[in-house]
Amino acid sequence: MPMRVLTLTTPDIENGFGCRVTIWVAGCNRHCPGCHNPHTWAYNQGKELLSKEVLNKIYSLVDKDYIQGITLSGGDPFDQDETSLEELLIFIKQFKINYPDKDIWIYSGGLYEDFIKNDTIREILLWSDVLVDGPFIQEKKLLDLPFRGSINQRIIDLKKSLFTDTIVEIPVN
Amino acid sequence: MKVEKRDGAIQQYNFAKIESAVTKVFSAIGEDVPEKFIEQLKEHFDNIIAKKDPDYVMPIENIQDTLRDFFIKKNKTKAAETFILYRKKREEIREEKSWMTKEIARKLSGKDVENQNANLDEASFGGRIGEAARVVTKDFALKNCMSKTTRRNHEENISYVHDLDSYAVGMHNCDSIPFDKELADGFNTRQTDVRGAKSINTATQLIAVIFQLQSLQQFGGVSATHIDWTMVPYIRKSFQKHYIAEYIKESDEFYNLDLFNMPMSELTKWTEKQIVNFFMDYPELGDDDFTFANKDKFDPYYYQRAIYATRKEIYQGVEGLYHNLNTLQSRSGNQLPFTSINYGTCTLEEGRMFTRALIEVSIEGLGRHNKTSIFPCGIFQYKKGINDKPGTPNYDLKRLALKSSSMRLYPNYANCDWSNQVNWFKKDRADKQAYIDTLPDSDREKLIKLLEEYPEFKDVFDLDGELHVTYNERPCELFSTMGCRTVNGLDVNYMEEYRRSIKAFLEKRFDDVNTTFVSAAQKDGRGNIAPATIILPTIAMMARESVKEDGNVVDEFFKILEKKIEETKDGLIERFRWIASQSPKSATFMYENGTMEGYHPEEGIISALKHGTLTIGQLGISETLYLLIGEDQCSPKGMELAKKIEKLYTNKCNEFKAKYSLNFGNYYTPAESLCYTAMKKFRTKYGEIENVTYYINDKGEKEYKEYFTNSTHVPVYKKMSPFKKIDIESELSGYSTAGCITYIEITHDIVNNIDALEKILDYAMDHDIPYQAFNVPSDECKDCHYQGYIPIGSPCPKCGAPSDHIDRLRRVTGYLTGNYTTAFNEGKQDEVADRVIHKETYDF
Repeated sequence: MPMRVLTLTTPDIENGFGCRVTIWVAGCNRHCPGCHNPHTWAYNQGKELLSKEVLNKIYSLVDKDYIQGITLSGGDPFDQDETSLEELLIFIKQFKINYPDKDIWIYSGGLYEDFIKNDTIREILLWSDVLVDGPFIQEKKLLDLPFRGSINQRIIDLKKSLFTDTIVEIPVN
Repeated sequence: MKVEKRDGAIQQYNFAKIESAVTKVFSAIGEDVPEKFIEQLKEHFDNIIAKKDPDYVMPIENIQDTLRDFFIKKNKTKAAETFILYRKKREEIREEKSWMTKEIARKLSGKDVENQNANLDEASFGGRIGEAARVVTKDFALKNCMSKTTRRNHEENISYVHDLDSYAVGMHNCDSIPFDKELADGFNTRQTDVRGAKSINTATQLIAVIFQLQSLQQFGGVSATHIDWTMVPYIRKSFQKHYIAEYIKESDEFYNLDLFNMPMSELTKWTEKQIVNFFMDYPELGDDDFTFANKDKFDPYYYQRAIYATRKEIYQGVEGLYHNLNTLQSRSGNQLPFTSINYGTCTLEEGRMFTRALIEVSIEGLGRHNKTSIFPCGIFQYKKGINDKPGTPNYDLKRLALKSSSMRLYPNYANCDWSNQVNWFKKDRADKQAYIDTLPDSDREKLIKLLEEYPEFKDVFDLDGELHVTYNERPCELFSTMGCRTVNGLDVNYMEEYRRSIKAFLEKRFDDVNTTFVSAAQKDGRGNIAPATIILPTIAMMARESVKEDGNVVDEFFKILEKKIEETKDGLIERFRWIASQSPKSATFMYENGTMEGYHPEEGIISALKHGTLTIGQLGISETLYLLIGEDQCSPKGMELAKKIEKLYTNKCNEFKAKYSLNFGNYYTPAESLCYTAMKKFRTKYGEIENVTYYINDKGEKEYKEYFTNSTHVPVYKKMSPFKKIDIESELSGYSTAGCITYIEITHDIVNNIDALEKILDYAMDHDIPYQAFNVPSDECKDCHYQGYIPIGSPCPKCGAPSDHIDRLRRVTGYLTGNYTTAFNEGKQDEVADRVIHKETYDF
């Protein structure tokens, strides 16, 4: 199944440092209780990520000095089938080649430890900068947590983590 | 028989009063009282009375009716008519009196609070007295102090005369206080005089005192234009005191002092002696050496201790300043002075320390629950090469300022590189050069010699030794604003002062050289004298109604607008003359202490007032554009027309400035109360019109508006990115010569993302926005004091308190207020409800 996009928002200031373009992908099977975006759970909605329309829009929004990078959220960008993940990899590679100075944040309910065992996701992570991982757990929800919903979720510095083979979190507040 | 008067008073019946009325009626129509008329009338009344009980009380109306009928019965038609007319006129006056009485009663009760100004407590004792008095003074001003045209334009919702209640006494609007001078020289008040400040603690206290005193002599705000620079000398004085104190405290003699029983005078004498000893021990040190930067000249042990003590003193001083400005009520106790402080460009360590304290206290908040400080309105002066980018000397302070803005809405940002500001500054220097170049050779030679002899005057005149004008921008010339947005632009009357000072200097009358009023671009010691605002949507409706079938509405609009700009200008000149005709005794503090620069007593107060501004304002560009062409400034066609309107304003203001030698300026009016009252009147007259009195929301429903959109602002309900909004508003802000503001609405999450806020700020400054403010919803639970964003209708996310237990802090016209749901007027409340976060969304 191809990867689909529901919505783009910009400037997004809530999902990563700086002013960002956030790409909300369709589809997530986790269904965490208290999820902010249950309307994004269904897979077969929105438009294909690699369609001309979606790509053109993303690139036109990103191509500004004030945009620091993109954020992939959803839905869950990693709770997808292999076709989707491969499409995502193509997109991410292309993006990094076009904009080496802009960064990529990815939000997923899965865990970093599991992702690095999956070749496609591992490669996506190699091309990206930050992973916010872990499911949203209502009991662990904290008010005013920067960039995440519950305290169990980690903001992982991918460059440092992948190169040192440890989990390096980015300290925020 | 007795008679009951209209006010309910009972009087003994007295025919002489009736007789007197009759005489007056006949005399009014130029006739003698007919023979026997009085006798017959008396007989008529006697007959009536005879039938009544002696205690009978007859209402005065019955007596008047009887008299009227008697005139008619005796065929005195003309007299009857005159009498009827007279009664009618009296009745009108009575009705008006009773309207006024009712209105006064309403205001005195303090129950029906309108919140015309969000920071004025209309329910308080002082507020009620003030509001009641306002009913009378407004009415008086309309009827007695202005031309019929001005009054008609005001009453017909065409051109609004602001602060009508302060019109009749001849108050002016606002002032940027020349604090450098006031703090150095001290000042006089009615009961005493105050010496100049000798420490930073005193200086910060005096700032609050001077703000308070000045704000009592005007109806608008007060500002400090460069407080970080202003404070440097007092920080150095404190540093010197602390340094020497640390030194003294090390001596054995100090430990043997009997601090409990020693008279203070002796202790002072002892200390003074120690200070003399200190300077004998360190002959290489003088008063001027006590700066933070001279670290190498000092003993590191005392230096560190003295800096520590100074930093503490600054922080406490600033805390005191904030507390004072949020607690010392002014104007009979119903209002805080509208105070604004500009800062951020001083790169000296002393000034930087002060700026840091200002921002740190702002972040910390006030009181037990760290509430956001409402005053002063902090304004960070953004300047390229000083604080804009990493590596500039005050970049760290800019970052700190952004943190404060994200949490506390303040500071706002003034753009010191704004193109108009740059032009004003250049024009000042060019005018000075042109004047110096026209001096006769003999004067020029003399000037060169004198400047050589007294080089300290070079800075005063902006001249080098060869009479070339120098381009050092002084702190008092830097771009600064009043919190609301008002700006002191180029002063058309400054050069007169310059010529006067040069002449005095040439004649060696050094005391007559004005060393504190030094530039036409100067902000200090100047302010707005009076504003007026044209309600543009009314003009658009007038054009629509009067245009001929084959005519063009837009052309008609410009014809009317130009006429109304002229009339508004006439109204401002009327008011300026009225204000200038007041005695300096009405504002002794201001004129004795020169808080308004340029005052020459022999010429009257006009000599100071003429350096202030007269501003022609505007309300509701977006609604106006809709009325004229069906599009607002967000479309290219709308923008083109908006620019044409602004161009007309600016050209007219420049024309008036030259013609009348008064500082007319194009003003993007705050219109806090007017946005509501003007809309109310407009709706009554013209009914509902799409995109004017209502708009269609996302759900396709009509959303009624209780307000006109501020000045040239994009409608608050339009969803767009902050960058797009800045693009649009920056195309129009350059026309404003008297002040404007741009708002961006951001979510509370910005607290964790200062990088994003910085990008938006930089973008605004790069796009020549003069004055930028960020609106971050700031809510506080009254129960648990959680601070954050709590959507309307939602309970407190921390303790679950219901939504009506939440205080919601929002911005209005540049300033903050307390809880907007109780402090804003209905129009502004409705506007806040319509405001959207500036963000773009694309759904696939």
